[in-house]
Amino acid sequence: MTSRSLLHSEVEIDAVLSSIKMPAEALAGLAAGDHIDLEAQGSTELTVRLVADSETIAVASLTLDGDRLVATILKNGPGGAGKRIDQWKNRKARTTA
Amino acid sequence: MNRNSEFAAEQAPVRKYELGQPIVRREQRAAFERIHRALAQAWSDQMTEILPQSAGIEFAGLEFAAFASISSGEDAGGPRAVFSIEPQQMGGFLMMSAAMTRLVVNRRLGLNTPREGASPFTRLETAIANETLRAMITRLADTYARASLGSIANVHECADGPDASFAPDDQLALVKFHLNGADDAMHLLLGVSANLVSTLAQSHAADGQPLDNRGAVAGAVARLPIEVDVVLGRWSVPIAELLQLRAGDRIVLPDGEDAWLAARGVRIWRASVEVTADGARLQIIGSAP
Repeated sequence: MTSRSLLHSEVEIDAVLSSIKMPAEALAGLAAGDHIDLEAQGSTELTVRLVADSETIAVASLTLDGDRLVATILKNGPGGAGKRIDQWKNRKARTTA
Repeated sequence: MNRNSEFAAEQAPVRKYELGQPIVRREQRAAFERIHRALAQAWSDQMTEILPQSAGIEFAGLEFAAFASISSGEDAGGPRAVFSIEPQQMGGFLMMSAAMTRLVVNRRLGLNTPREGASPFTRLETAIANETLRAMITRLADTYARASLGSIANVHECADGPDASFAPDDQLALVKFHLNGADDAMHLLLGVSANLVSTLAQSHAADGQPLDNRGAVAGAVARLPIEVDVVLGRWSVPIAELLQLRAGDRIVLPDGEDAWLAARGVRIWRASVEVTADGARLQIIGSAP
């Protein structure tokens, strides 16, 4: 019975498109309208991680089906499966220079 | 338009307003220029034996422009190298003009009768030119480290220019140097990601002097890399359903209109995400509630 109720309990899943490293100052210095371009590291395709409580439970490839984003599971199971740090570039919205 | 205004227009061409340019405060720009004036002096000291007597490298100006504005033939023939600046993950390059390279190479080889300036460089001359440029980048790295601008890494020569390392709309700070007393052909061009200027700490920018301990700590903390997740969305799933997830299963994801940036689970910025063929682009919408 405990097991059954456990199976019916729900967990929150985050779809993490990318993880990047950014200096604290740059993160704090972002502003509405700024753009960040993401580029998958060492690969030509973006993946998405399904994360529950900071734990990666599955890694999926990402495709566009019309205007829908579809994730196809590549690898599932607990552990730090597939985590990687992607490249990024920031373009500010406006200038005073 | 009268004659005077026509003349003024010829003297000061109107430049296109670049939306992508970084926000650079006046004090930061001044500090950035000071750092590169000191770099020019350091290069001159380093090259005392190579440069003609009483000649030195001088800072010749700073401007901000998109990478596309640099002519593909800029400084053709001279050595060029690209590098990264860590931990900001920014890029940069250093190019020496062909005329200045010829001068440096000839003097290092001790040639009394210089070879014709326009003749192509031999392999030996190219190696000497590249070694000189690398030594200059080492001095640049020392200067940037002292100014807390980051660590220079991944230096490599690029005979065809830095085109492969930058996108046309990448905004750059272009620092120009020239050899004093020589003609305009004797010059160097240093390009770094324009956002590097805006990372200069305010206290450093204010007086141009090295930071005191407290300021240095604040500056170091400001540059600490933080791991940021780009989250498309969140939903709830029964554990039973999660356990049935298998490779090949397809899930329709949130469309990215209500995405956010989070650090250690804390939402920082709201964003919209557009997935493209070769990556993704985020637009910051506002701070996360």
